[in-house]
Amino acid sequence: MILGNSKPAQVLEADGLQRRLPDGRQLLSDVYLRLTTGTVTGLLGRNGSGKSTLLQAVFGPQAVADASVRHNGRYVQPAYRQPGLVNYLPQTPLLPPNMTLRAAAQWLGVPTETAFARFAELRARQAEPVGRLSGGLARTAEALLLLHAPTHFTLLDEPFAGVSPVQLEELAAEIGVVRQRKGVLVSDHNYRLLLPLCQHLYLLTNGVLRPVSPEHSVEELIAHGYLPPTEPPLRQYSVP
Amino acid sequence: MMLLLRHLRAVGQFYCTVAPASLAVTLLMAGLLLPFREAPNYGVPLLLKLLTWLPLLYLHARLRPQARWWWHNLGYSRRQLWGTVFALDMLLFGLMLGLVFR
Repeated sequence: MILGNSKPAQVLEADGLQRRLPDGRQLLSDVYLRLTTGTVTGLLGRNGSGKSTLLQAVFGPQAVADASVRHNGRYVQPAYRQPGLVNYLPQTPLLPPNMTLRAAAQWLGVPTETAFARFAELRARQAEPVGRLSGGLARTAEALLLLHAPTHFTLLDEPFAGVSPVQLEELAAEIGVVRQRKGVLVSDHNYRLLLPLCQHLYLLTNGVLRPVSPEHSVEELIAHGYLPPTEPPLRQYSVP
Repeated sequence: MMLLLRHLRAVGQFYCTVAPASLAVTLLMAGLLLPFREAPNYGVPLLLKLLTWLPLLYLHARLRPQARWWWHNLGYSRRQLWGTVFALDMLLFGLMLGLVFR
């Protein structure tokens, strides 16, 4: 597959991902996941269904039995040790609280003017330590820095958590822009914002990763028990 | 060269999260060893210093459980960071022993 900017698409695949909890419950059961540049992939699932474990297994530090992670067919494990391949936003705060946004951007090789172009407050406060920012603002900054970092893939675990509505829309739009040059995997419970962004969608349930059709996502998610049966139709949201 | 500088900066930054405790141990042991400087004994202090790494690793993991993701995003593994910091700290400890027992 060739993208619009004529660069060949990069493919990150993970398969054989299995994880059993100490209580015997199968969290991941031989999961296969494929990410390509130029697409946003959504990952949904109930609390405790193993979404974070899956992301961490792909990223690398989380040791998972029999896991195989490949970049363009080449075995890369742990993936995070491969320069320029993948970065990961965990559910918890990422940046050291005493580090400034500007310093964090330098470490990640990101120009702040580009990353914070839509976010005047972040541009104005880039010299402040991250610990002084509100939780939602810091979360936005972390997601933006990783999205704009020079990697082929970005894995975002609940990037919308705690972010105010206006910034949510901007952050979602930014994901839509960035995906033109990289592959983005987003796991978040804010499915109303997430679904319109995704070209591919998966539901992780009972340890199995089920593909969900983006066209009929709400119906399928209700059928699989992720959404309540009374769920209203999805609001239209356009990504630039 | 740039990579080496980046690595040194990263290790230095990581060492800052460990140094208050590890250097305090080093200085405390220097104080305790001063009365015995006429009869140098390297084995016991070295063993004690090595043993302090176990609670240090445990406390670091307990107090900063999520800090590792930042370092992983920069491409560093825990083994790589802790290995370098351990070598650096033990080097400083060795220098301290040399100063006390010279």
